[in-house]
Amino acid sequence: MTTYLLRRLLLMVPTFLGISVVIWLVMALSPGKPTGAGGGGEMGADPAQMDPNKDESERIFREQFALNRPVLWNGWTTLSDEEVLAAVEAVRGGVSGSGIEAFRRARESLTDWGRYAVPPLVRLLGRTEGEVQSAVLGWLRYASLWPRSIYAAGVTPTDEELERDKRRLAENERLKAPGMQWPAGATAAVRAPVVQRWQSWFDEGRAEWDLGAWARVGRGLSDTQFGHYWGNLLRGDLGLSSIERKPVGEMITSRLKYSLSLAVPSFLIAWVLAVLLGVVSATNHGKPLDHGIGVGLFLLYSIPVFATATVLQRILAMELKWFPVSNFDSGAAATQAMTTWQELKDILWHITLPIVCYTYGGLAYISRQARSGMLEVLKSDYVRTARAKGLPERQVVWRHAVRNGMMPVVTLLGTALPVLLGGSVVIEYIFNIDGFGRLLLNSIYQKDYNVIMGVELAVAALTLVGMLITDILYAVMDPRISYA
Amino acid sequence: MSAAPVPSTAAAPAAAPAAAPAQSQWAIVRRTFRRNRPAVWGLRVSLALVVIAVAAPLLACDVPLLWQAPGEGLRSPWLERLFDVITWEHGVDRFFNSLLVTSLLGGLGWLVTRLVRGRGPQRWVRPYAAAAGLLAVLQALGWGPVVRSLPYEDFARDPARREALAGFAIDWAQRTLDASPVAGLPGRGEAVAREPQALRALAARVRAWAQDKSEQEASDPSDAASALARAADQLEEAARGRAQGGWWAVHALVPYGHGDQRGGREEQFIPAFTARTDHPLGTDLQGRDVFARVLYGTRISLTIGIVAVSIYVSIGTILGALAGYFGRRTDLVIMRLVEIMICVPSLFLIMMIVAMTPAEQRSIFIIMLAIGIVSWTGVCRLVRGQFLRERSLDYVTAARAMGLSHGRIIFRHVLPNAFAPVLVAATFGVAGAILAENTLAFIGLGDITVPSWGRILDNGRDAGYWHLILPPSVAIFITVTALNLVGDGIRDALDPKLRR
Repeated sequence: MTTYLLRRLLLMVPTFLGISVVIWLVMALSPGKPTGAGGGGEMGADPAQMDPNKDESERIFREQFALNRPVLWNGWTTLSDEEVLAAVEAVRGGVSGSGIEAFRRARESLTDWGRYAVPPLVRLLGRTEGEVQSAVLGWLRYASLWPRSIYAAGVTPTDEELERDKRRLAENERLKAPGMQWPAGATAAVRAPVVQRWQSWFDEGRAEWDLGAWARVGRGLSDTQFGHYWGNLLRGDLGLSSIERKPVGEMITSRLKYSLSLAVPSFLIAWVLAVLLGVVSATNHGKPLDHGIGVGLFLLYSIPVFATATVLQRILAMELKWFPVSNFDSGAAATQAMTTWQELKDILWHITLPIVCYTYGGLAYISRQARSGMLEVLKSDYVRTARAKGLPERQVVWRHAVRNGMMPVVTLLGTALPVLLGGSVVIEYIFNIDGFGRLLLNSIYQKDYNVIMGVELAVAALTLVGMLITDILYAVMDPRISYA
Repeated sequence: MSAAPVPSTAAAPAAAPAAAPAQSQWAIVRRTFRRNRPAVWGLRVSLALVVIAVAAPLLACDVPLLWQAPGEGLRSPWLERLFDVITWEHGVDRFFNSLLVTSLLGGLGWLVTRLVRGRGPQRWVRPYAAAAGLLAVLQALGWGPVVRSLPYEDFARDPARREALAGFAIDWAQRTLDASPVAGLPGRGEAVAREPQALRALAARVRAWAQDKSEQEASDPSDAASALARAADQLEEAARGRAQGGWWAVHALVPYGHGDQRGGREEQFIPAFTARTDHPLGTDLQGRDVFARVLYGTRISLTIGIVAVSIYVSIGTILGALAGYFGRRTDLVIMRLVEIMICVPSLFLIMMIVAMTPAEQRSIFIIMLAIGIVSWTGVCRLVRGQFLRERSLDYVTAARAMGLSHGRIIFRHVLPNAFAPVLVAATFGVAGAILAENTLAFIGLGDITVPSWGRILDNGRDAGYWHLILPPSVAIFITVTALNLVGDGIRDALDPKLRR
């Protein structure tokens, strides 16, 4: 059993990895782009007026989400001089010369390349002359600057990081010095020493630019949108919300209590009710009661949760005022003044309707399975034996049959969880409860990519755990299954 | 390994009882199905829904079905504009309209042959049906040879369409000037085929509005004011034409389409069952007829259901067949993929895919595609199970020994045996896909250009009007129940254990 559990746990890792890849690919390859807090300013053709640290919010946004990186493979370590020159020329041509599309594309690649473009730019600086050389210098000055480091709100950088930042700042100062540039229309004689200085700066930092083949492959795989996301994920970091600028993990855990306090009770209620209904239905097989339950559940099954919830909310909450219309509790101000017991009652009063709607979605499905499982077992030989030896019917059903008859229902436990959580979107939307579903929906409306990813991953992880529990329960309930 | 066994919805059809030698498997299934009364009713209701979806323009349409006016003779603006891209903005509508035309023609042909030959159609039906289908597709794409889509200029020249054109102008002007406080403006549908006095009054109101507009924007006259003035002209001309007498019109049950706005403002809203009998279920907050919207919602739901299920049944069948037939590594890879897909709630994934497409591209086709590429796991597991069972049977070995290609064995020999459980899953799947689409529309992620039930319901929930909550709920309920009943019936009929 232990080995089985261990193997089962280990298998969860590649599955989870696979899930993250699938979700991530769906997001990365979709046509829409995430939105940040700041919009990009109108682009000019002159890099000298640009600063990698300007337009801060947009840059932070792109940097944090690694949007300035390729999606899956980063081939920028082998940027050719021609490629870079073409881009520089296209930007120099301006919107009128190169056409808006080509201009934007070139401009975007030059800004995205950042320090990757330094080696070809330095080489180009030595090769070109005149206006083009000035443009190359402009881009080189832009590309060589270290961008300011970004730290999440409330996170204090370590000493090591501060040290690095200080070093980078000093280097930036050095690069911004007047000796590293020439005035407009400077002659070749004025330019030569500047080019020389750039070359020597470049030679100093050779170690950073000269990469071996393996280092290139490593960089190509790691310095991508996917690589960054996964690197952070391995460290347990789900990233920041681009709208709220808060860590996603924190946002999810703070919402978890709302969703779970809906999902867990309703799941238990649905389960118990379903088993009861299933057993009653099966023991009265073919009688009017069985038919009645069957028809009732069938009709329940066919009405979508959102319709029932809407109607219930309208009748019970708005017209009869038996329950509050929405929300999880009476609000922070009101709950402050309450005792714990009162607060609990308040919450219960608020979430009764959501739980009823939640429960009902799963009820019909589970009890249909329970009924068919029971029917099968009631026909089996050992039940006949139990009856034959004179056990009272109640004992036959509840002691002997139910245990085996519930097998299919236990299997459902794992697969029902994602279905239930899927339903939470609608319930939370209707009753205005700030759980998982609302979080996902809101972040979808706002295109907050990290939150979307985070919620999906959290739900997937919950489901994996649910499936694990199912398997363990299965092993406990059915001694015939051996997991040696 | 997940130890969860696949819950099989149907036993192997190969195990059919040998007691009835003269009957084929499907004849038995059909007979058993017919004995299941709820299932038969479900099938009838489902077919009725298809008929309703196809015949929707006969029940609710803003254009007169038939029209007789002096100097024009008898004509059918309805038929002329059945494929007009202005009247029928959405491709789904034009597709269903072409189905309507072809099925009407088909019914006519059937009737004629029945009268001539005295019995039902025989072999000739097939080429006819093929031709009709082709026609339907061409028609939907706008290349229809029978009834052409009308260019806008033609539209304007035609006196029979002037009122409608005025309606368009009003519609358009109102959309561009939606901040205007002017109330009591007519919608597109209302302008069609009214009494001369009513038309004249309408013209006067529009004229006043245009005047108002041009005064407001004296410094910067907009197109809207002149469009309204034109609309008023057209209405007056129409009123003159009507006043000469000798005209009549036959309308659909409800003289409004699903997109007609009666002003687009809340004060235009009409509750259900009031004196305005031409809105049997009232209007929504934008002044659109609820009956028409629910009616045309049938088209959307059925399209989504059928297309999405076709997509995922194809994906699931192919992947499941590969996994089950080849086993080993193929199986491992595909089953891992299935396990991955199962772990994420499909609604979450669908939401994500739909949300990732920019709002202007978010059509129902994207939604169908999203549902299709997320929901294939169930079918895949079913087909795989069936293939695992079948592949070691003698007939597969024999086929291999004969040197048949893998593809031929999979598709011609084994796949037909996996057909039954897939059919059951697909029937339930149509209901599921319809629910998924309506859920998406409900939470505001649907295609806003189509009349989806979920969206009507959400509007009703927001505004708190029963007549916006109940009709779509009932429509969803009926559709899903009927489809589930059919699915239940097929499953039971295919299960040899339940049969006797």
